[in-house]
Amino acid sequence: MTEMNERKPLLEVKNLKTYFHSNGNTVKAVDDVSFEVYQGETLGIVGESGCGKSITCMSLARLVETPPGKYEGGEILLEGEDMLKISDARMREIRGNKISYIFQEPMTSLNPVFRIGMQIEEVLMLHQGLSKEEAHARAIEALDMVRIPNPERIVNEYPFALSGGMRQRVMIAMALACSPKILVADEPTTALDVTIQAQVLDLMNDLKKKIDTSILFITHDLSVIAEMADRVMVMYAGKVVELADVETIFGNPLHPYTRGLISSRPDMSTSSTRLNVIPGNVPDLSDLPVGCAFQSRCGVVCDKCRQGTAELVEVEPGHFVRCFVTGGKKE
Amino acid sequence: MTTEDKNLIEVRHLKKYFPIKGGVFSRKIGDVKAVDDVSFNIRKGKVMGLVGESGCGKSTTGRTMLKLLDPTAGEMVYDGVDIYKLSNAELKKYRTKMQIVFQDPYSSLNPRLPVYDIIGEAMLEHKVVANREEMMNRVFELMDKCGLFPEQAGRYPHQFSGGQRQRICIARALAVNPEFVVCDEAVSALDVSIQSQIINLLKDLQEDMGLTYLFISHDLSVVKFISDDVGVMYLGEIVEIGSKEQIFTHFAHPYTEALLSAAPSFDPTKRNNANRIILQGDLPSPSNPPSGCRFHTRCPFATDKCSQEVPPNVEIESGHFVRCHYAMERAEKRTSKQ
Amino acid sequence: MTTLDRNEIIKQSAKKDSYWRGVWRRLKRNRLAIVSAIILIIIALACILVPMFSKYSVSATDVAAADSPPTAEHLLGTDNIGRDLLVRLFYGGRISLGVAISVTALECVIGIVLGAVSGFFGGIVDTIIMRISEVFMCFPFLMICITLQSIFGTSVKVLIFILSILSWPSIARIIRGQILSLREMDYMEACRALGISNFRQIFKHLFPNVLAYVIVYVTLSMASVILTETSLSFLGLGVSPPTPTWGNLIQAARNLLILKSKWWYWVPPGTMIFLSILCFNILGDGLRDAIDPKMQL
Repeated sequence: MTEMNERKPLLEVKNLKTYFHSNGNTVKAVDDVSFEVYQGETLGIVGESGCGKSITCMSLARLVETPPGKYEGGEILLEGEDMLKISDARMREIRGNKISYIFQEPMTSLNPVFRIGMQIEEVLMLHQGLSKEEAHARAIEALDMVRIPNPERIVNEYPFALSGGMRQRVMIAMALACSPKILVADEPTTALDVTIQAQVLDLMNDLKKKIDTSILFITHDLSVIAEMADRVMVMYAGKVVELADVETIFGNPLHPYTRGLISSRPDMSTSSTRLNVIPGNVPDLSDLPVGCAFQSRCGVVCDKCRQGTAELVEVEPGHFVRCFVTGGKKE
Repeated sequence: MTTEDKNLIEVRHLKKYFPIKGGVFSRKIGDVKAVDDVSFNIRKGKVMGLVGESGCGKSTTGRTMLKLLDPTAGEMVYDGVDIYKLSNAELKKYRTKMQIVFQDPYSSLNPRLPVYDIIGEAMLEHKVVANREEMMNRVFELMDKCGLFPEQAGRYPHQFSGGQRQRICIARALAVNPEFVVCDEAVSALDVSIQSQIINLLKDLQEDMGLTYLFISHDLSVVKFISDDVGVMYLGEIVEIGSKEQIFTHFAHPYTEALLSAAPSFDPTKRNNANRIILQGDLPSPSNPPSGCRFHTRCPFATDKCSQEVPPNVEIESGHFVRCHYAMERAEKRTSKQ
Repeated sequence: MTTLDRNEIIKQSAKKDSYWRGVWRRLKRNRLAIVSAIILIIIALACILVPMFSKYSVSATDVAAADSPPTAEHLLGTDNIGRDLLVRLFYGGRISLGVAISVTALECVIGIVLGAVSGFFGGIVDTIIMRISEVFMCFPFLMICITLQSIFGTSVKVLIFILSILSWPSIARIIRGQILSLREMDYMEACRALGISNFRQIFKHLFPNVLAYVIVYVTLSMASVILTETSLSFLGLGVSPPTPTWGNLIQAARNLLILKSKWWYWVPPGTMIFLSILCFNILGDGLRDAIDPKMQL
């Protein structure tokens, strides 16, 4: 971890704020989020629906629709370039080239009326200026790389001919075609079956080693995080509540929400009769209380939590927690 | 499975085929064998878990058991009565005994009805209560039991969160005092922190009211938590069935082994497990299942025999059945290893 | 608080939050739709009241005052045989709107019944009804009009019959499609699992969900029927004179001289047609947005 901190981060997000305005309501979907991604690491972002994890990642390449969305502040520095300041033309150059995305739904992410090969070739021709023939050859290579059998045949197929797992591989091939610096994977295996998920995760880990891309891995599934991430960022109601490397998050979680999430999962290895529970409901972002957003569900809530929001404090090197009660500095 | 418990439900050779129609006159050109000769028992007051990947037929099994889908063949014996042989009027009486909770809490509630109507409707239909007054009281009682505020009975589904909606669905299912509830991926669509709440609720209700569940899920850890017995389905067949301990620790079918090892571990130190089996390929189409053993196309241990001969259903321990040619050998190998 | 009070409070809150209240709230926010609705009400009232209280009757001629432009006596002037055009305009409105309402009502009754039966029962019933609806949709509209009218004559009743018999398939198909997709919802499956009777399934669960579509369809259909009726009357295929309708009032202006020099013949009915169709369309759009902006109608 310390060794990583000395290196210059590839991506730096500072105080990012992405808000949504509609009908006079302001929804702070991403509220003052800061993090770094280093070369070759996998940062897992975990949280429940509406916690802002997807919006954070869509903001990186300005994919949030504006309006209703609005980037209210902050910086997104990718190799020193601020994604929020560059022109639309420059942004299009970066998308797919430096930052690539894989989304949850492999069914809707591919255009059904074009051949698989064409969709990959298009990206290559656009960003790398390859000729049609070169791009075709590279597309086959890319499909081969994601372990699609008979890439020469699949390249001429239409998306409907492929299964969900195969489509997600095609998406990965497409995302990696231009060797991006950062691959953003937004719940890439949530729609897949367990055995297919295992295939895809295995493939992603292999590819990461091969091409040294950094991965931002978004999921609600803690076990997938345990499998994939080097560092983990836990989000709740638009804010980062805990950030640490994966062993610390699972071994010594400090934020009550992280603790609740980890202990509420039925564990395959132990057998208890009741699950631990985080009471209450996932908060409504347009109607958050004053103070900590987690206060109504928290077991260790105190008066301070109802008055103000805690800062994200580094309690030990590389371990950040946002909590008045458990996030005190360690002696 | 011990024999002293009474079986509430016995499913015998259940088949559900969906015709594939094609051609100019939409003639039947084949079948999707969604459920193909499935048999199992559910003991009274116990939870039977059914796991498998999407398209393996686990949901179809649940729905066909309740005759929400018409069975192609087989029997569903409930407390000694084959409900498939009943007339519509007789079946209606049995409807109160068997209920279902669906996966999607959004599409399973009628958006136009207030909660008291959603929960109470069936009570009036089946004369569980005498009048609307009594119905309301019973609705309040159920809402309270399911962790909802009775004061909110006049609200509409869109005013509730996903977890609360699932509680409403559970209350609706319990409205007619059922003995048996099919939970069809009942927690899969919920947020992680809400899942555990609903699982606890289902478990509490089961213990308090002595309910019997068929718990259908693709999530092994949830099934392991809540079930007493577990069946593993693959391409319309049950490939392995037994008690929870038998399935999770003495498993003998290669598919069960693969499923268990494919589930990501919760412990980051256990990653890169060298013993992990990663299955190759996709689920074959249930309209044209592979010959012999249906799993042989993806099985890492498959031999020639597997592609030619349909494996028998072997009972390797009391109540532990495995549909594999090498079930006995695999089980022995493991015991010798341990 | 006794249980009775509590039940009452809960029922009140159910009413307050009900779906239709929400639709009404959203509709109220749409100024244009509300203005349109008010204009339509005024037009309708005028059509009922003006001919009732006017001192002129529809067919009374006053040759002395023939062809007069608007005066204090005849607010909208008179036609070539001295009939008061104001009375004729609103009497014509009665016929035009009456035709629109009857046609819409009739096509909805036929369409909803056939569409619902088709969607709910499916199978061979569905196939037969849908094939019949296709046949009806294939009829060349004008040809059928001319043929039927040459057989039955050109009366209002015949026009209503022709228009509704030719237009029911579209609403039938909408209803069928809706019911087919609603049937797949889990809550309908829950109904079956709970043993809820078919009657309650249809009237308590399916019908309220389909009603929104019917309402929007009705407003949009009113506009299109008015347009069709006026075009037919203009071509001489609709209601035949002397009965006035907005269409055949305009038809009187079908020569260049009148068009150029006698604006009071055709401007008022033209305005009425334009206004009513515009208002029905805006109201229909407003209702659709208030009910479900994603509705495809």
